[in-house]
Amino acid sequence: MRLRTGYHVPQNPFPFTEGGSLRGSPPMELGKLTTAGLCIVLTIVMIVVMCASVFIGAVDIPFETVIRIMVYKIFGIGDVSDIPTYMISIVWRLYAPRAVLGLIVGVGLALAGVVMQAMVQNPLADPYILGISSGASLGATFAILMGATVLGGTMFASFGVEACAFIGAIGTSTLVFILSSIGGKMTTTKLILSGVIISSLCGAFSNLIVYLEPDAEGMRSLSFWLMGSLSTIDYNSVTQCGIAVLIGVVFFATQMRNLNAMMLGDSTATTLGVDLSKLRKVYIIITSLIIAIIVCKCGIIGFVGLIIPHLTRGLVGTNHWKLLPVAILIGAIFMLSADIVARTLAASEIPIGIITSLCGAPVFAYIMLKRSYGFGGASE
Amino acid sequence: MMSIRTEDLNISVPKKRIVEGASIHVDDGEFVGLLGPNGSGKSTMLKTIYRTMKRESGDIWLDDKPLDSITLKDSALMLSVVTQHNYYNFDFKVEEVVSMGRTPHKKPMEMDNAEDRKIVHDCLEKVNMLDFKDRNFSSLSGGEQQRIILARALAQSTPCLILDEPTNHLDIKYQLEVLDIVKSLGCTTLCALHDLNLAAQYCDRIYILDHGHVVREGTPQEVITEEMIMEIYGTKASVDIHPKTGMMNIVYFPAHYAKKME
Repeated sequence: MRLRTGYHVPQNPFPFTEGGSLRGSPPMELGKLTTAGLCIVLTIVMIVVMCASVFIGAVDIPFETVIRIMVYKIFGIGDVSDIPTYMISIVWRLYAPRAVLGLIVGVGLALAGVVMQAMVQNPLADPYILGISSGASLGATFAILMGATVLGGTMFASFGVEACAFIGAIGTSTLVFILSSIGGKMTTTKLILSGVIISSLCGAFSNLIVYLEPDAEGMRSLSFWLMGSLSTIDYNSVTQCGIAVLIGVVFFATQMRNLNAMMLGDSTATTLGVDLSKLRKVYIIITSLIIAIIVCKCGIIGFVGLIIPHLTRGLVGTNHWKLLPVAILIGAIFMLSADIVARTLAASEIPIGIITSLCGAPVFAYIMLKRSYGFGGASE
Repeated sequence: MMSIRTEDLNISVPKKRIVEGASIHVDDGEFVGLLGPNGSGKSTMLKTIYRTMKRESGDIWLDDKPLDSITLKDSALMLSVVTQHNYYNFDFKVEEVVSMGRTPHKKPMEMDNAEDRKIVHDCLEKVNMLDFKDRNFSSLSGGEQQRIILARALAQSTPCLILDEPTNHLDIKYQLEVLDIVKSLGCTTLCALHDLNLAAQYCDRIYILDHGHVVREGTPQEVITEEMIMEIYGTKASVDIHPKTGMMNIVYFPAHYAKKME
């Protein structure tokens, strides 16, 4: 080694690559392999958090017992005849499905957020902001509290809560799209404002319904719909959410290219052969389905669909090949962690929507203030 | 053989007709310029051809097939587009923007293979932007972005190319470079331009659009005349053959100079 004095010209250690870019911050480079690596790491973290969720819930049961129950139930290994039945049902009937539901909801909300942001080419889009959650919530509230009286005897009487929530979700998303494209091009401002308008309308109607049926059930529902919870679960709910989210994940896994092209704006996507008007309809139906089922089972859990995609873009960039898998894993981890916090922060359980909104609102403000996202300006 | 043809094209926005009765054709391998003052309907006409705007009436043919009978994906395999003002709400890496040119060649779930990556690499090299491939698109200057958009259109590997004022934002060097690249491809090219000198140097044929009507058609020598510039642009000019280049040279007279001449 020779010591140099004075200035020296740094040599490019890779003669076949160029290192000449000075302006702008270099994007965080996570190549194909490292994205796969990141996914593996996140999957491991996710499993650890899931286990933690079960352990923390069953705090009075010895750690070792929980493991034995889980191993027995999942792999059929070991013997649990010496463990009291109530412990087994607490672990297996209460906290295990809750952890699985947390995972599914996290995946579903993150997926819906990524897709909605691509669909409207807007960093502020998420199912909550665009009013889809409120629409689903209105549909579900209606079905639970008034369905029997209003719809009784009609052909709609057999519609379940889920179906009404789905209709509400599709209805509001369609309304928001129509409202924001009246009188010319759909702009960011119009889209967000339309979302707020439709959202508050749905909220008002939901509250009206609850007000007209002022019983204990109504009040309980109100707090549930407004703040969300993972507490009212059984394996049936888990299965329904799981199916909806799985449909979404499988479908959108085939849409990476279209999602990428959509991000370049309507006219560029068109010149690349991507039929936006057709795709948008399909995407709205599938995201509405996911959101409707999640809202039915867990109420409105705000901001997850907004912050997770942004967090992930900061890590791996905008390319959906990387963004989508990483975002759904982070979504699951976030949701499971938020649920753990919701259960352990105070003596009684805090609604999970409060935790996610407490994390989400500052992030929303940060996005709004950070100019480099450059939303709301001219588009192609 | 790949050609673009329109017949009796009418395009309107609410309460205003933008293009009226426009019939143009671009033959195989021809470089055709679309010229005209601001607001004459150049961009609108191009948008209708590359399918982001609907026409009121008239016909468009791509490769002698009616445009309406071609799927969006198939027309994206025939026609690539370079527009001005490319602005994205989300930031992509330069390489990712260019590789999206491969979209119509791929199934939605198909990843880029070695061949796609080579095409992207070559296209970036062609526009002299290879060093920028790992940069964020938004961190580039307007001219650099324009060259990336050209690279994306090249990566689309289509026999036809539509350009809407591709030299806007570009330094003189890159204006020439971009048009040289396009010219060297030998594609069927329809290009809106507003620089008459560039049009004279690169176009095989020119259409002049004024208030939505095609008012002149022909070779640069036939179309770009002092009389036309006065009539369409309202500007005094002199059109000569430059002694050194042997090419047409258009010089505009500013008002203060024109006054002195009188």
